[in-house]
Amino acid sequence: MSILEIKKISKIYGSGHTEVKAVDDVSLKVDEGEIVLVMGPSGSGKTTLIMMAGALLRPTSGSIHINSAEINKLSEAKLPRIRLRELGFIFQSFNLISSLNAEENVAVPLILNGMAMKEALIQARKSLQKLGLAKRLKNLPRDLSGGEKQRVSIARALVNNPKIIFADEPTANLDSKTGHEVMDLLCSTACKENRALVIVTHDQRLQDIADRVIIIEDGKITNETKGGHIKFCKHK
Amino acid sequence: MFFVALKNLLQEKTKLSISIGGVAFSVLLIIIINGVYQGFNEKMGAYPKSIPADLWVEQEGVGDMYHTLSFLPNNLENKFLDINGILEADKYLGRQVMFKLNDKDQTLFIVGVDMTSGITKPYKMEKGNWQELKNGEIIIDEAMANDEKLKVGDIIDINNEKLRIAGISSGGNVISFKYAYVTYDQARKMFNLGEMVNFYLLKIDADRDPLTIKKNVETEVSGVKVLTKKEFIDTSRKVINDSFLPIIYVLVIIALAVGIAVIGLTTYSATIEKSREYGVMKAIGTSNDQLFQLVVIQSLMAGFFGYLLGVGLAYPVAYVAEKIVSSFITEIRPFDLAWVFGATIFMSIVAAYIPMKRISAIDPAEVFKS
Repeated sequence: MSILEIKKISKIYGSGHTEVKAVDDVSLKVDEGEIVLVMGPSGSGKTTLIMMAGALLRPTSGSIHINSAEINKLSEAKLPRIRLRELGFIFQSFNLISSLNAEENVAVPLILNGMAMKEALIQARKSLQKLGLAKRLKNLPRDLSGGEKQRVSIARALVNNPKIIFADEPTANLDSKTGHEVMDLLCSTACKENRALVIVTHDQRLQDIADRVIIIEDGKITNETKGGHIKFCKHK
Repeated sequence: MFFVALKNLLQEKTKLSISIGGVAFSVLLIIIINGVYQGFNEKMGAYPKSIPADLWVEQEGVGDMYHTLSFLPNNLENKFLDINGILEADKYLGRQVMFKLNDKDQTLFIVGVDMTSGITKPYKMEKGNWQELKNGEIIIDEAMANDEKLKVGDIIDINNEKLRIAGISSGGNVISFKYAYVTYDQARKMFNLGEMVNFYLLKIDADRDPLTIKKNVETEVSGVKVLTKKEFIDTSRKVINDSFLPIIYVLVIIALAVGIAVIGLTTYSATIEKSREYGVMKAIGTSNDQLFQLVVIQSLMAGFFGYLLGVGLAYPVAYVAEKIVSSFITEIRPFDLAWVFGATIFMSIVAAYIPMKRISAIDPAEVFKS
């Protein structure tokens, strides 16, 4: 069953002679539990695509369905709720809230979703423990290593049980070994819990973990191949 | 959102201190300015309020007793007592006197004390006994005694009238003058009143309507104006209200503006610095309303702690100021603390407005740009 369905979307910036087509007539389906890698050179439109799919940017044309709801027709006021309940985000530069410690960062989506603070912190601790951060719960982001920050970011993305997770260059700020460990954790968790994962990356090594690899150039999907999906997601 | 707001505030301790300090300064200013006004206002009416008279009779056309002189014939007592419902009629001698003491200009409001009825006795005695007051003696206020290092037994020269200090009273320190008390005869001599008095004080039957008697007195006795006790006190206070209230309003508005500017600027700069984090929060599903709440809570917390500090400082500041300058009289009433708290909440909410506008303009998609 498709959890994300993108139909012929385009995104045009500017107008007239300054017009730029960042994404051009792209269609894409992502099924539950599927890992899709979006690759392409800088400026190819892959981040614009992920922003539109993540309900952060409206397409100029086309439609986006998340869990059967056509999100491009929803009002601005309703989109935060979709992002909170249906989607998870992992960023290249981790983007943790600097004033909150690890467990509080993870608890934020739960609290936004209406959970009481105490219960949210218990859930957040469990999530972080699963990701091997049991001893770093009270640490502020500035006291965490890059890998630890990205694991907190993963825990935050997963904690509300979203159906689909978008990761933008999740290994770009990590060394090779840490990047490998973080992706292992992300993919195994996503696989276990049947979450779809859309990863935008330049990292060729990640092709091994994907079910599908999509190549975007000049805003268009130019190639689609099967990924390895064996290296990390052993249980698939 | 409360815990995020609290953590954000505590993370920026310098900004928080500036914000709280700014609000505290603003609250302190408002409380002190208002306290001075209330203090003056209270003191202005305190002595007339303590006099057990129901009606004050003054010369027609006279405003308040501090700025204009009222002269009435010395022999009106019986005319008043003939009017139905009037039980007592007493003479009141009192006026401002300026003189030099220790090369400084001094202003006293000297009251002639009726030694028999005691109706115009000092507000409160600190040293000595007013009933033992004799001609050639004076009771001065403790503020004057402290300022000029005077004590019982000292002699002061008031416009060539040498008077021995027979007692020290309190509660008579009013802005630009202080109350002092002499005997009737001494007052008559010092004021060159001849066969005149300044006011008459009337006591009426408790069952009678003061306004009806007031009307009857004005009809029966020509050339007089009658004020009820409340009217007389209000007239005395009107001087303060007319001259000080507009100034007080301006100063309070300035203090409010300072508070709004300080919280607004610190909250705004914190918002700018954290705009990426707010973008992240938007991206992960925080609505604009929830972020507005966060900013308002931060602003309110800075306002609340600033208010507590400002109130905490107001009392020692007022105390020290009064010790240094005796005419610096403040009265900090619970009601004033309540409305200043309301003003602080108002300040905090207004100060959050611009940061809120900034937050609503943050594009969550920006967080994908590293």
